[in-house]
Amino acid sequence: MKLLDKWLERGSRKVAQNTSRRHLLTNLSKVMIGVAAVPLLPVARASEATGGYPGVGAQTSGLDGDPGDPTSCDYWRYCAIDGFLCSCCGGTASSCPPGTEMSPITWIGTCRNPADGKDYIISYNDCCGKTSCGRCLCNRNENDKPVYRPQSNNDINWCLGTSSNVYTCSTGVVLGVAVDG
Amino acid sequence: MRLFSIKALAITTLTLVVGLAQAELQPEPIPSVATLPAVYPDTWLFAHDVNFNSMIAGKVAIIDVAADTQEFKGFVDASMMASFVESKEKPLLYVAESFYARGTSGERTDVISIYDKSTLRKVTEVVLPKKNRAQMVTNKYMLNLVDNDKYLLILGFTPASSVMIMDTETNEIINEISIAGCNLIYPAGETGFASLCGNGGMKAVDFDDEGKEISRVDFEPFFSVDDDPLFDKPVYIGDTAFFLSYKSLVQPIDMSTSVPVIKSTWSLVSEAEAKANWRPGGWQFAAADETGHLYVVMHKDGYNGSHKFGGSEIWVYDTKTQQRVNRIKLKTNAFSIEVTRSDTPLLVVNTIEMGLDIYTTDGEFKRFINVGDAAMPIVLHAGK
Repeated sequence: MKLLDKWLERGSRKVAQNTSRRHLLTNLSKVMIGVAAVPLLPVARASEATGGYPGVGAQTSGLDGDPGDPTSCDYWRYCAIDGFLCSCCGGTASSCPPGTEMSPITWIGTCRNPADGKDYIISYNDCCGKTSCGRCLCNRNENDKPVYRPQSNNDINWCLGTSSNVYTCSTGVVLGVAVDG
Repeated sequence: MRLFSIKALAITTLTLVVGLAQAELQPEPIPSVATLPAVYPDTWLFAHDVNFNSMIAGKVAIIDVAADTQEFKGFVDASMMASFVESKEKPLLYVAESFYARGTSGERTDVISIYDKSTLRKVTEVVLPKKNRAQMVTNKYMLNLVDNDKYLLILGFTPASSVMIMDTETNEIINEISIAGCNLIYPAGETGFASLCGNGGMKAVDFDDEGKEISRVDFEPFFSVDDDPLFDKPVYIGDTAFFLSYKSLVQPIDMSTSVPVIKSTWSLVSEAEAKANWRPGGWQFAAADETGHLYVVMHKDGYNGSHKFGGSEIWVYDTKTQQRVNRIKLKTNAFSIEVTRSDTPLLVVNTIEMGLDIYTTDGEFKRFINVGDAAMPIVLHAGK
């Protein structure tokens, strides 16, 4: 129970998921929060109500047509993220924290932007080279496929092609509107 | 003087009383380091703590899930999304892991670390020269021993996927076989293995004593990755691998030969249960016992994206009759499960709170075991 509390506190409660590997944990939180099958912890409820993680200041991307809080697991771009949110770690939803390196290789998901109702291709680039950020753990798995389809999987360490493969946190970069969306 | 005598008398009396009550503690030897038996009792299991908060410091803990005292036996390190396998034939443990010269940066070294079961000390390590060991959230199909533990199969992913073959007698990497378009290692036949593929098909490869590929079969797609993918974590019962789909299909595959045989599918759920979206899910969400019963973590109201969140119940199936024989409602939702191979098997549940709830296979709760105050033991290996 305590452990879960800790996890949730770290960030998962609201949802999300995606990124790459540690997501599992996040799942947990999501379960708690979103799926009703599991009793929600008080901290999770608080988070659900506020849409963010305790002790993490809310943000906006500052872009028109990009609603929501990038430090919250339910931010629309994070529909398949799995990991620590870089927005909580000194970066943003689309940039890495100082001193880390963004992976050039990654997997992509498709998330619907509630502002315009369009589906966008989201690139879940990992940030690499420092230890795990440890803030805002988030795991969501919309359209996530098993590792035999790696380009659609968030369990893989996508810190590939970087000078260090150690995972730090995850971004959700808009690549464009999905053609078939 | 008189005062001293009274004091001395009092001390003497006290000493006598205590002496009658218990012997004095004897000096204890230093240093003192515990050891384990070379052959572990069958109620011991390996709980892999992936430690997402510092992945270069993961570990594999050895736990006696039947014990109410001294249940935590020890552990070996498992760095950076490591994978693990126990040898059945030799008193050894294998860990595939990665290190960086400066902790989280600097030159990468991939190794197979080999530990003695009794001392838990590293016997040796084998360097993987291409530094291409797969780093992903760990599961049982990234590192496998085949042919009576003669060969260790190691998954590579760069993202080009491959299988490295290590001879466990010489500890040499004798070959690397590409499995492009496919992933993971499902042992098949004596030395072969199969991998599921991104098109919904399967690849099966066999190799000779020198690790040279001697056969390769590419199966046409037999399931839909887009509509209802098979989870990549099957459960072996004997030589049959039971793959489960997101929407509750069971796909048995006979792995008794190096060319697997795809068997008929059946469903975990009734029509009504399917309508209520009862689905399997979690991380290592299924397990089996020695009688052929299949245990599956299930959740209600499943949806696109609910497949890794665990569940509130474990449904038990007789794989011969394909009928559900039990439905276990858990104290706390399960994330990963395992069943020991002991005479009286125990059902081990890593809960979503990341601790182990131990049940009988009938669902009677026995005990809770803490693997670590902040541990994330998401993969459980029953002792062989």
